[in-house]
Formats: sequence, structure tokens, C-alpha cells
Amino acid sequence: MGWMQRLVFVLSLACFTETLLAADNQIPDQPVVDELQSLKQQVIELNRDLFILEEDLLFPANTQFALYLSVDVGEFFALDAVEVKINGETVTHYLYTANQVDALHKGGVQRLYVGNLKSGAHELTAFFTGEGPNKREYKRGTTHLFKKGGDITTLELQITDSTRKHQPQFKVVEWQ
Amino acid sequence: MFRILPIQPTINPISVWLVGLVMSFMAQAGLVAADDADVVSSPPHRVKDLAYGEILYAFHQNHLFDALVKTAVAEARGGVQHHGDYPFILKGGMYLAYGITEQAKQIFLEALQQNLNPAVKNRAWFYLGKVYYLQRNWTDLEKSLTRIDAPLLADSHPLEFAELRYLQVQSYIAQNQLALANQLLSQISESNPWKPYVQHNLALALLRQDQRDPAIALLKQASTSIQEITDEQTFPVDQDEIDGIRDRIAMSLAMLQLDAGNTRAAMDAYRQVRLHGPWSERALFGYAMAAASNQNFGLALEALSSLGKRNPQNLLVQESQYAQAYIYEQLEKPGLALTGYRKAVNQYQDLLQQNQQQQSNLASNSLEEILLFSAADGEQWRLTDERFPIDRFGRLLIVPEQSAYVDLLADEHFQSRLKEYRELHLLRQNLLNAKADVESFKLMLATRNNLREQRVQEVQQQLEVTDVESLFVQRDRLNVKIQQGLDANDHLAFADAADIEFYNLIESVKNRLAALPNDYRDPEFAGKIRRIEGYFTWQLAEKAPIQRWQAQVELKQLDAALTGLRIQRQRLDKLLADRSTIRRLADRIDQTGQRVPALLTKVERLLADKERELLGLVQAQLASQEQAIRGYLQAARLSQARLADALLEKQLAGTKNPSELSGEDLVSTGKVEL
Repeated sequence: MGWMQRLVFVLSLACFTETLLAADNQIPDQPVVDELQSLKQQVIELNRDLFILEEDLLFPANTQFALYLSVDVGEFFALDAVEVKINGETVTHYLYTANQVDALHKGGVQRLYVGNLKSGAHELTAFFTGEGPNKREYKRGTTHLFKKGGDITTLELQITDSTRKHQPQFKVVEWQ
Repeated sequence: MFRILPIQPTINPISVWLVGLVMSFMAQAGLVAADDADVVSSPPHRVKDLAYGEILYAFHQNHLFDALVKTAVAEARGGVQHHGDYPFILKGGMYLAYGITEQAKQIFLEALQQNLNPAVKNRAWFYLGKVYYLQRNWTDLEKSLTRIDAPLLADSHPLEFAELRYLQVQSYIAQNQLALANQLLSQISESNPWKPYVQHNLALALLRQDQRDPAIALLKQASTSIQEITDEQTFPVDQDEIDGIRDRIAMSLAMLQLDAGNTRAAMDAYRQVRLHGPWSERALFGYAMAAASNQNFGLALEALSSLGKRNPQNLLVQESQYAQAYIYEQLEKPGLALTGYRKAVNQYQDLLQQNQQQQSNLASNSLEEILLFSAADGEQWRLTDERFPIDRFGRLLIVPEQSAYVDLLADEHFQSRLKEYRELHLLRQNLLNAKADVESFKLMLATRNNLREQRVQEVQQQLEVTDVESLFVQRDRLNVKIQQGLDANDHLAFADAADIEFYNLIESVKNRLAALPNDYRDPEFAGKIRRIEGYFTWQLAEKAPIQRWQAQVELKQLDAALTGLRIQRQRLDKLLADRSTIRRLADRIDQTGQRVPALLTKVERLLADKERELLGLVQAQLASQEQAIRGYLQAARLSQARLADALLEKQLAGTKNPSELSGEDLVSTGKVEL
């Protein structure tokens, strides 16, 4: 081995191990870390208060209507998009990313829409678009009549599998 | 004179651990919906509380901040119901993954004070141990780990049990108790996915104590462990991660073999590194060096040639020119060597110029202007972009546009600072949004208040028209009349309209008769009218009790209606006067709004400090690179001069005719730049 190569190897090894070992001794600057943690916590609390304030301000309980969406199993249907109409008027049209669909499959529930409705009878219609059995394009709709009372009205769009029919099922469930 | 530059984030003990930490959460997260088996009899397929579902939706997208905000909102509204203790653990885990370790610690400590299911309690101890590990609190870490029921954990959560062993060995390594670490390592099963990491880390610790040979032996074992993990698949295998640690271990092993002079073994180890992985350039370069040392110049040139075809911005690619020239020199091909050195000199000169330009840019640009990134599709990203491409472990998925920063960004210290900088930036952005929200809320409330006041005025005007009090006056008047009728036993007082009309008719006839002159008065008419009046009076007397009763009932009904009206009016007046709802909302907006500027000031101060610190690191890196480039340049120039001199001497001595040198590499003293 020539002198140059020896030098190369020694230097390379030194840099390499230095990179590896250095991190083990790099304890974060504690007061800064503490301050950052405290700030993060305070910003979380601020966001919580703003969220609740916004709801109280924009969607009072006596008129609030909230719509959620969940997927259970979902082997017969791969969700792409949902369109929701209330009393014939489109209130939301949502396109899903793969990440969001994955989150739904893992038990996550999406708050799809929140708005205000007057007391009385209303009609909800939801259209689901995606890939159905045999990888075919699939579009289905479901309609649900509900009554808005004096308290928050919460509905959940559920996409489930019917193993008996080998088809997806779309249901609307009212939460009390 | 060369140095191997890391080209991707280095997997080192800290990052490995963090990767593991988040992985573990993600793995658990996958079980969240079904994992309540610990606390409920049958695992639910869907959430029983929508708030919990919302938290999971954010969590599974790795939006930890959103998930924590949603958790806080759920707690403010009574907490997550019907999911037992699991939300507790998830919350602690999310705080831990989001880097708020102190809060995570409090959550787990609080959880442990409660009467938890043994399996959940066991996990709480385990996560508390993780918190202590992050805080490098070895004493409390040991206490926590000893509280874990290992067989129970192995039974209920095998992956966490596997990680527990990792934590134990890591804590021994961190405390420099390498013998204990080695002893525990020998008890870890081959299928434990954490084993190669601890083997690697222990090898590095041994190296730090100059125990190179045991370190090499351990790295060889780590290679075998990876194979076992892949073959057995006892736990889910993330192929990218396996490939990454395999590369890393092979690189470490190769370097140590080289250091030990085992060039053949080093070449074998380098061959284990993927050709298109993050370590490939470094491996090619190292392989070339090892091959050259082993006198396999052909293989060395092949590797360097392959390296030379890669991204010319890469420093290793640039350095390969010098290395090729050096090998040509060893192969006694002075023409090719001289060309190589000349190219190297030119490249280092360009590099030096770029470096100096970059250093001068530091003074006038912000960090995010300096560190620009581009993805494979050519899209340019700034470090502060909210959706900056990072993987689920927080590692950058794209490379900086300027190769000078590749090395820096591979450094764990720099990466962790950069992560904090990005977090602070995101916090700042969040606070600016909050500030804008507060202003919007104020505007909305003011608008609502104006509309309300307008409506109040309209209602008040309508009420004035209605004049409820005049109704009471009329009622009182009626009451007096009824009372007088009763006192005077006056039947006519309760007569209906038809009766009164008839009474008036009789009276008018009587009056007319009375007004007639006596000669015209017909006694027959007078008798008739008397009979009619008598009959009428008799009928009135007959109906009077009923009409009296009706009048009294109607008066009572009127009283009730008027009382109701008065209550309603009072209520309405109260409502019209009541501005407490708006005032309460206004107070809340004010209170929330007041918190924003103070937080923003703190964040901006920390952000400025962090930017200064990072710019300092960038500056130091560029200065160090400048020094290195100058060294390379000097070496290349010296080699060029040395070779040119030698060739010239030969030429002058007439030992070799200049025409014998290869055409392209023909050297004359005039062509050589020194």
C-alpha cells in the first residue's frame, strides 16, 4: 500500500467512525429542548382552544350538523371520492389520497363535513366513487332522511363489506 | 488526502433508535383498532367514539400535531369514551413521537398511578422506559425496565418485547458497560429485528475502545442476523430498512477490514452494499481503494470508472478523477495519469470557486434560501415548505441542490438541529395562522353583534306597536264593568250584542212613544211594548247567570293570556338586553388572541437562534470543505508537476521520444499547468 493510499484509508476511516460515533455523544442542548417542548405544548393548547372557539362561533350546538366517514375492512371497495348533498345541494366533494384511505382502513374516522342546519326534516345523499369488485369502476349512492333537533346532529357514512354478497355496503348511521 | 463523504443521512445509534421508536408506534398504530383486546373483551372493528376515530385518522397519516390537537379537543369535551386505557397509551406515544418527552413522561406516570389492566400497565412501563432513554436518564430507565413483566410483554406484544431487549443493550452501551451489553446481546433471539442494530452499535462502542477485532467479529454476526431476520420473517420486515441496515453494516465492516489491512475481506464487504443505495458512491470508492491496495488495479479502475459516470456534482465522483490518475500512475501509464491529474486540478479549482461563492452567499441569504432541495421530478422545495418530503421517520427524502451540503445534511447533529428548525418554522406558521384566525373571529363576532343589534331594534319597534300595557288597562276597565254589573245585579251588564241591540230597540220605541202627544198615544202599543220588555227582561234574567259566568271565565282567560304575555315580554326584554353570549365569546377570543403574540415572540427568538446556529454549522462545513479542496488541489498540482517533471526529464534525457507518449496525453512542459 502506497503512502497516499494509506493516508486515504486512515483519513476515510477517521471521518467515517467520527461520523458514526459523534452522534452518540451529541446530547441536545437541554434548556432549548425544554423550551421547544414547552412551546409545542402551548401551541397545541392554543390550537385546541381555537378549534373549540371556532365551532362555538360558527356551528352552535342547536344548528350544528356533522358528517363523518369510516371504512370497515373495505376489501370490495377502494375509495376514491365522496360527494355529499344535503337537501339536493352539494356541500362537499372529497378526493382521497392513498395515505388517507390507508388511515381510514386502520380505524381512522374522517370528519367529512360540518355545517349548520335548521330544525326539521332533511335529506342526505352521498355518492361514493372508487374501484369495486373485480377492479371495476364503481359508483354508488345512498340516501338518508333525518330530523335535526335542538342538539348537535351527527351522522356517519359507513363503508363496509358484505361478505355474503361480495359487495361493498354503504350505510348511514345516526349517532346520539 | 481523500476523505469519504457521507451522501445520505447516516444511520447511527440515535437515528436508529428514533427510527425504531416511531416504527414501533406506527406498528402499534396499525393495531390500534384491534389492539383494545387488552382492555375490552372483543377487539372492535370500528371505533366506538368518533373523537377517537378522528385522532386515529390524523395519527395514521403521521400528522402528529393534528392528532395531539384532536386529543386535546376530545379531552376538553369529556375525553374518549369506550376505549378503555388505550387512548392514554396512544396519547403518551404520540407525545413521545412528537418530541414532547416531558409531557409523555407525565402521561405514563399518571397512567401508572391508576388501576390499569396488567398488560396495559406493562406497556406503560415500557414506554416510560423509552422516555427515560430519550432523556438519557439511565437510573430511571433501569427502574422502569425492571418493572416490566417481560414474559407478559413477550406474550402480549412480542415486537415491544424485542425492542425492550434493544433498549436494555443500548442503555448498557450508553453507560459504557460493554461486557454487560455483550452478555445480554447473546440472549437475544436471532429473529429479533433489533439485533443487527445493537450488534452494529456495540461494534462501534468496541471500536471506540480500540477493540477492532471483536468489533469486526460482531459486525460479521450482524450480517448473519440480518439474513436470519429476512429468512424467518417472525416479525413484519420493512425491506427498505433491512437493505439500509445491511448496507450500513457492510460499510462499517469494510472500513474496519481495511483498517486491519484485510483488503480482500474489505472488498468482499463492499460488494454487499447495493449499487444504487444511498451508500453506493462511498462503497464504489472504498472498493476501488481496497482493490488498489490489493494490487487489483483493473477492478479499482472499473469501480472508479463506474463512479465517474454518476452525478458530477457528487464530491466522491469528483475525487474519483484524482484516484483514477493515481492508479494510472501506479500502472505506469504516465500520459493517462497526467491527464487525470490535470482534470482533477481543474475540477478542484471550479469547486474552490463554487465554495467561495457559497461562503459569500451566507452573509446575505437566509437558511431556507441557501438550502434548496430538488426532488427526482425536478420540483424545487424549500426547507420550510409544510409538505416537505420527509419519510415517516423524519428523514429527508430529497437531496440538496448543491452537493456541498450533502455531507452536512448527512450529519446527525445537523439533521436534529434542522428538524428543530423546521418544527419551529411550522410552529411559527401555525401561530401566524392562529393570529389571522383570531382576527377573523373578531370580525365575525362584530358582524354578528351588529346584526343582533339591528334585529333587537326591529323587535323593539314591533313591541312598541303592540303596546302590551294598554291591553292591561283595557282589561282593568272590563273588570270594573263586570264587578259593577255583579254588585248591581245588572243583567244587562252581561248581555250579548244581540240582546243589547234588542234592548236599545225597545228603549228607542219606548222613547218614541213617550215623545208622542197624548192624543196620539195608543194604549195598545204601550201594552205591547211593556209585554215585549217584560218578556225581554225575563229572558235576560234567565240567561244572566250563564252570561255572568261566561264573562267571569273570559276575564280569567284574559288574565292568564295577559300574564303569559307579560312574562314573554319580560323574557324578550331580558333576551334583548342580554349580551352575555356575545360577551363571553368576545372574552374567549380576546383571551386566546392574547396568547398568540407572546408565543410568536418566543418562537421567533428560538427560530433566529436556531438559524444562526445552523448557518454557523454551514459556515464551518464550507470552511472545512474549502480547506479540504485546497488540500486536494495542492496534491493534484504536486502530482501533476511531479509527473510532468519526470516525463520531461525522461524526454530531455532522450530515454523516450515524445512521440512515443500517447497522442492525447502528450506532455510538453508548455502544456503543464503548475
